[in-house]
Amino acid sequence: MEFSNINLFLAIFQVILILIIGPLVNGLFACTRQYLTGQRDIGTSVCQPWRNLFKLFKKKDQTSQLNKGFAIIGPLLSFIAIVLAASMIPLFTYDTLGHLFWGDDLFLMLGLLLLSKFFQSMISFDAPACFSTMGTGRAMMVHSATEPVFFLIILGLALIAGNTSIWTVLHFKENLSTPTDIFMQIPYLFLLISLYLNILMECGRIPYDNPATHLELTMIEKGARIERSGSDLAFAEWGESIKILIFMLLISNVVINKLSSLFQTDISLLFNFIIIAVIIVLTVFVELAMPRYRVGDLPRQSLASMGLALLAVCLIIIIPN
Amino acid sequence: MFSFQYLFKFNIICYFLAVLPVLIYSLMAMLSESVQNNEFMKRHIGCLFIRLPLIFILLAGFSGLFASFQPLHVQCDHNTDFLIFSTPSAQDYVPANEYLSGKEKNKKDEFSFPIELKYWIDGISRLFGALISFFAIITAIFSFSYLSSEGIRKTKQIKMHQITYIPAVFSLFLLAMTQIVYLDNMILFIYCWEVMTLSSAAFAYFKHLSSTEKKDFSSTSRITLTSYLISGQVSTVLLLSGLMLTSPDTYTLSELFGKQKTLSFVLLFCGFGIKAAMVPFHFWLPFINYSSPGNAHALHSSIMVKVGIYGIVRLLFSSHNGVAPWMAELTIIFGALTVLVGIQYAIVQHDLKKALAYHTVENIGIILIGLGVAALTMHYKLTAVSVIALIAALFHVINHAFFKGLLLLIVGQIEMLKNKVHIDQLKGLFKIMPIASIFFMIGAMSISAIPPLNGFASEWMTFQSLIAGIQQLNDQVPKIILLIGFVFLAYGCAGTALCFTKICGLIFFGVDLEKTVTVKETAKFFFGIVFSTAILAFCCVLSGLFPGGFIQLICMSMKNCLFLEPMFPFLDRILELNSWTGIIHPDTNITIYPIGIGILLVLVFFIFSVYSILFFMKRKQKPVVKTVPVWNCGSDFEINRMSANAKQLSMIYSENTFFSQLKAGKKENSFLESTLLKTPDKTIQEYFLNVYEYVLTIIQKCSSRIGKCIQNGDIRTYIVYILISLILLCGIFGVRYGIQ
Repeated sequence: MEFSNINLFLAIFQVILILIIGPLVNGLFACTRQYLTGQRDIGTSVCQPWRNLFKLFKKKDQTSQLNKGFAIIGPLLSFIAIVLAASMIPLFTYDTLGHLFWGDDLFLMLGLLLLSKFFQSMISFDAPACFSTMGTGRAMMVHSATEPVFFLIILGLALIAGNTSIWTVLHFKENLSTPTDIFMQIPYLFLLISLYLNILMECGRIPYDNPATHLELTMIEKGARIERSGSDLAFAEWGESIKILIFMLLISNVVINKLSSLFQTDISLLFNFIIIAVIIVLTVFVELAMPRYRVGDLPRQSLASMGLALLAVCLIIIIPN
Repeated sequence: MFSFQYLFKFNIICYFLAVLPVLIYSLMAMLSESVQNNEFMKRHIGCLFIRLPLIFILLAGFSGLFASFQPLHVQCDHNTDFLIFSTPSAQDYVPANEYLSGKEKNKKDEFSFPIELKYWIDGISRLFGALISFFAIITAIFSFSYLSSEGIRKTKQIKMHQITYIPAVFSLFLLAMTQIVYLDNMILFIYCWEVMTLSSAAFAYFKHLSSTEKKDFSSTSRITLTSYLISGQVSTVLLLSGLMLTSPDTYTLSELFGKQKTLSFVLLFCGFGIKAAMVPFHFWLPFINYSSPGNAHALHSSIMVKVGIYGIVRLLFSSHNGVAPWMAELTIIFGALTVLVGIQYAIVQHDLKKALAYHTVENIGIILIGLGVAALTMHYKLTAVSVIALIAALFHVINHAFFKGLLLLIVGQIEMLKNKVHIDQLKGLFKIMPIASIFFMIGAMSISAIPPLNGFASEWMTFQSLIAGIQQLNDQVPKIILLIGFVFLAYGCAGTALCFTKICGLIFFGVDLEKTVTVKETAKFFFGIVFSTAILAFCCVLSGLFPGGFIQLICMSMKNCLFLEPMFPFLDRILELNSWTGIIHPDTNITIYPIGIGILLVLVFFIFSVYSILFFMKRKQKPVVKTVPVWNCGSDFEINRMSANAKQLSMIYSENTFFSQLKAGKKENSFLESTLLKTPDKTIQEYFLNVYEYVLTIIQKCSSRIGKCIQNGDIRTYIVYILISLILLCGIFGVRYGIQ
């Protein structure tokens, strides 16, 4: 682990960049959607989520009469947990802050996201209105369906690299010289598809949850924070968008790792931006093509990604290296 | 001066002294009936018969805790000492082994009496002994406030003299558990096993005392006792038969555990599994937890099940060659099943005590998976992985005791204040007991495996050992079995977070509309309760932030165990690292908890709590933030009716998973259902009880048919029986002594 001031500066800059790009991803989703549906004349900017956030930060907070103080420290703490998780994932350099100082482990990253989720749900229960509690219950249900799949994906990634550290997983280079070796990579394709489905579910994209809905009875993540306003809401929204970016970066980093071992060269991490753009376009296509599932069907639908991940891990185990 | 022997004897004597006062009291009450109504006795009963035994238990706990860290001087002469301490360990003194070998020579010549007070002192028993003694201290401190407080008597309408039996039973229970983990003699081991079951069963009587309807004893309490005692009895029978099947030559456990064959292993595994609340033998734990008082259910759930785990550890790691692979695979599969069933029932269970009991079942599954991985990888000579897995399992034993003890003691406090433990009936407890609710949240975050708390550390190590095992094994079958363990472990982790979000959210927040608790009672500061729960919460945070220290403790105790000899070089390398924080295991490339993040989080939390306190103080002077009422959908209903309840929050989960289909095909008005399942929440059905009931009916039918066949009431048949038995006897004696 080489340590220098430039590395430290780059690592800090990387985290700041992830914080800035996070809301822009949501803007990009909206723009692409408008472009593809032919509503080009409306002209939504990519920066619209940032404008919304600024507006929310400027607003005066309104809190419930019932809250016990959890609503005051909760939003910031859950946001900090997400920022710490963001400090472990590479965007343009592998020397993340987590790798340099406090450990970059995939389990630890998931644990931090769970910490943030725990605080979020405590805030929702703090002022127990009808829709916020219902939304929290649903969000935790979705989480309990997606987390085992994340664990399986970590298992699949760590089996080949030998360690669950993100640095090790992304630095492991295989020798893919023969066609058989390339054929052996098919389980990782399954793994990535499963990860993608799981991210759609965890982050509430369309086949599983509609982020643009305003009907309280069908909301999941939005329903959980329906009672919040001002800076509390801003932190929650900001954190949510960073979470999507973290997961997308995980996919794109793994793809870059696989591509660089395929072409026997070190592909620059700047390809992350291109791959994220591809993922966004793909997601918008999925959103346009598919209707939304009912909430009650979600546990059953989660079995698809679970089965795919299990199949992939079984294939990785059975195929001898 | 303070060697192991003296402290250990002091420990035993203190536990016995704690029983004495209640014996004296009951003798006095027997001799004259006026004792109970005597004014002097009434005034001093709390001091004499409740606090005095608790002081003795406290002393015993401290001496037991110190003893487990003291060296053992075996060379003291055995002729004058009635206790025999043997140490099959490389670390302690050599004369022990010489003494053992010399004794074996003598044994063949002369008859040795099977019952002798012989102890098996090594690292593993010291570790479990320290845990039990630590919890003796914690529960004694808790009981000082709990048993003598006004709350327990006012809300439960119990007179003081009715609870004098609790400290005595407590000390017997703790004594039996301490002896079990140290004893080396088979007969005394079984004897203590029975004492443990019987003494802890006495706690179930408490529910009968506190229930307002005396009719209640006929259903719930009686059936609780019956199921608990039957399961304890079956466990004892299985253990005795398993130990006797193993080898007829010896009575010492340290030799017996190493010589396991197929049948004796299965018998012993089931026997220990019943006490460890392993599925499918777990059904007694929720019932006994539900019926016990607040200080005892913490011991049931966090310590007594660990005694069963101690047995399984001994079973798997008592021979130099390691166990057969199928034994380890059986452990992993039972662990996976235990995690699955435990978490499923925990999610749909809305009674706080029972839900926590099912979480105990789930955590026992996690420990079993860790132990199984350790034994399996040890058989395949992957000792580096095996070390990590065993450390993870033992670390989770300690961690689970910490957070489950914390959660259950606070549930005991809630029950003391409110006299009800159903999740939907409890609201807004944050206002009544803010300190306890913060501690409860620490416990909930620990058990949900949220960093930087201790549950995360040990569950993470279990995951790492599973990954390393799958990666390094060459055979396919054990790999697939490890994968099964991994999947169910992940499933359990995810479900726990859901369940504890529900519990914390529903019971601590919201509006408490009932005014059952008087202001005077709530404002009272229960020093013992707060102190004991604070120690446990501190332990949760400490072993989460600095797992290195605890891991080194476990490593040292493992190095004291002779049968783990192949692991010694790897343990040395972990000990050499000498790091209290993050460790990267040198042999397997496994990171054992990078800790910077935890310290960072604690710093952030500290800063923000100071900030929020300042914020509140400022807000009280002049309102900065606009407060509005909670939006109630424009209705006039009270807020609690409009917000979600426990059933709603877990309904989506329970109705859409495959496991709920198992519960669908139930029969109505069956025997066990009409008795065992009469709980406040009638919606929860135990699938395994139906299975047991099915077996029960089959046995009943068969036995009645066979009985009718054999005893048909005809005298001619009986004469035939007599004739046949005479002929058989003649034949046996003829063959035995030779017909000449």
